[in-house]
Amino acid sequence: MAQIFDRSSNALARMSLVLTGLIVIALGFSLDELQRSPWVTRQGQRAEQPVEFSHKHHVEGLGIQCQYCHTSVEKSSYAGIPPTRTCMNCHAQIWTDAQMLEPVRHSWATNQSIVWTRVHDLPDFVFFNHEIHVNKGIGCASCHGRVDEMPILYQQNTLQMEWCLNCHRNPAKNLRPTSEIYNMAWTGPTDLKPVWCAAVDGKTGTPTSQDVTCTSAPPGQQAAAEEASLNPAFAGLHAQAAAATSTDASPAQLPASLSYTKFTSQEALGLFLVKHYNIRTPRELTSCEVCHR
Amino acid sequence: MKHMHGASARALSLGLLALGLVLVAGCREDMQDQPRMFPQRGTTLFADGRSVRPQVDHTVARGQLDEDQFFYTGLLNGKETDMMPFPVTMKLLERGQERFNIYCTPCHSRVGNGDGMIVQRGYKPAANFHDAERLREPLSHFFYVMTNGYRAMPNYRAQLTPVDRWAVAAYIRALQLSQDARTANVPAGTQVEDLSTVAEKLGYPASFAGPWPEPANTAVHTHPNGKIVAGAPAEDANAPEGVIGGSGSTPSQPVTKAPARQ
Repeated sequence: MAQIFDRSSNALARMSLVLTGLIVIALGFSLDELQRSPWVTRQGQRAEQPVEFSHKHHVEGLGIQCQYCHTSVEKSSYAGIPPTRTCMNCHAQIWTDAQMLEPVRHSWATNQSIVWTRVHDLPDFVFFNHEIHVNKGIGCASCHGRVDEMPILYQQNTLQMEWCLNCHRNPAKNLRPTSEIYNMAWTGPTDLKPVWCAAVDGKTGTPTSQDVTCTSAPPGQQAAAEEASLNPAFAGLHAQAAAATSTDASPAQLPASLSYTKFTSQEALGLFLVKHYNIRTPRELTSCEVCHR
Repeated sequence: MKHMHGASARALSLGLLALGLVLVAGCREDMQDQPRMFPQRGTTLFADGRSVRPQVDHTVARGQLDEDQFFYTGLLNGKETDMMPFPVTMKLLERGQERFNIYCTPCHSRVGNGDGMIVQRGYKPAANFHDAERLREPLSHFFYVMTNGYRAMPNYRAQLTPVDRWAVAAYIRALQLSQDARTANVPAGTQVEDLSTVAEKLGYPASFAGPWPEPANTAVHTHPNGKIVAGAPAEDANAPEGVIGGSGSTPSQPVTKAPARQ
């Protein structure tokens, strides 16, 4: 009986071994790419929502600030989806018969919550906290992107652990003054647009972000203008005349002049803010229990 | 041959199993979506689907006793009063400015003339803080309005804590003072330039320094029928029309009291 496999099959067998190896490697690569792809991370996906709410219209078009709706962002772990009542603050009188707003009116009339589809959905074993981020110099746009330019909200970043760690390993590159947190267009200081910052020495042991003052205007002129226009010693409008005569601009109450430092790069500003906002070290920030309990 | 066949079949099935495991590992289950309650996520446990429970009727939670009547209501013996329940500091005014710019500017505008964007888009005209009526109001009137709403204005109790409301009230007073300054208010030795001179120097139109246009006749271009949604805050029959308090009858001495816990 003749052999089933010819000698030439040996070459085929070797090739198939190599091929198997290649396929395994390719599979590994493609799975790696897959788990980072928008298909898994939901980056850029516009979810179906009961109301096609446009952040662009409300933020860029009308100039409504983030916290008008997301009231709890500064004091709790979650930013807060506004209650129907917040919509009705304006839409009780504006666009009262728009078909688009029918779910809002229905919710208002029946007292049933509008069921929104969550866009930024972290796994439940991640304990993300908005409060600490917005109070220590991470702006909305750093994570959420230019929401003010999104007609339909989508997730800008992967929100994967890799992405979190990228910042936790070096927070300085994303820190901004707390006065710029809700400024969607903040780009960091440059040579052409420098930022001046000064730190007030608060009570020892409790220095917070409140003790850092930053300005994008040369502070010398601004301080003078402020001193001229601010008189903190007023009691009320009706006491105005009395106040004007008795306590004329008490300079003792004005803040002592601050020593401002000029920053022209994000690195320098970031390092300054890391120091004065008391940002923990990368070693501490990348520790498991920072995000997982 | 039979033996070879079995081995390759086993290898194949092992390979498939491994592949299957790798694929299944990508599924999001259990740990990702835990059956705990999360704020605003919703739950099937309660009939209304809310995991955040409303306060039970006729109960008072810790810290909700609100025993300081003036601090929590803005009324002293049922009357609005021209004073603060605690001293005003620069920090408080800055906080008030920040909160004002977030919650009040959509209607009242940053300068407080009642010509905010929402009014321009067809909401009922908002109060101009610089008109005679508003200049006459005692300070706690603004607190009272923020707490209870006023005509078409819904209340902002949920958005602003009592301390924040007082801070905003103080800032509104500061805004009024800024627009109603007299030569006597200028500290001695300070050079004051006429606004029209400044405007001219900066190349602004001549009308720049003039009075603001009154927002009375707003262009109602997004408000086609003038209808108001039934039961909307604006039509709340119980909404108070504001208490006419003793305007300026009380001396403007700030009562010293530490602000309550926020």
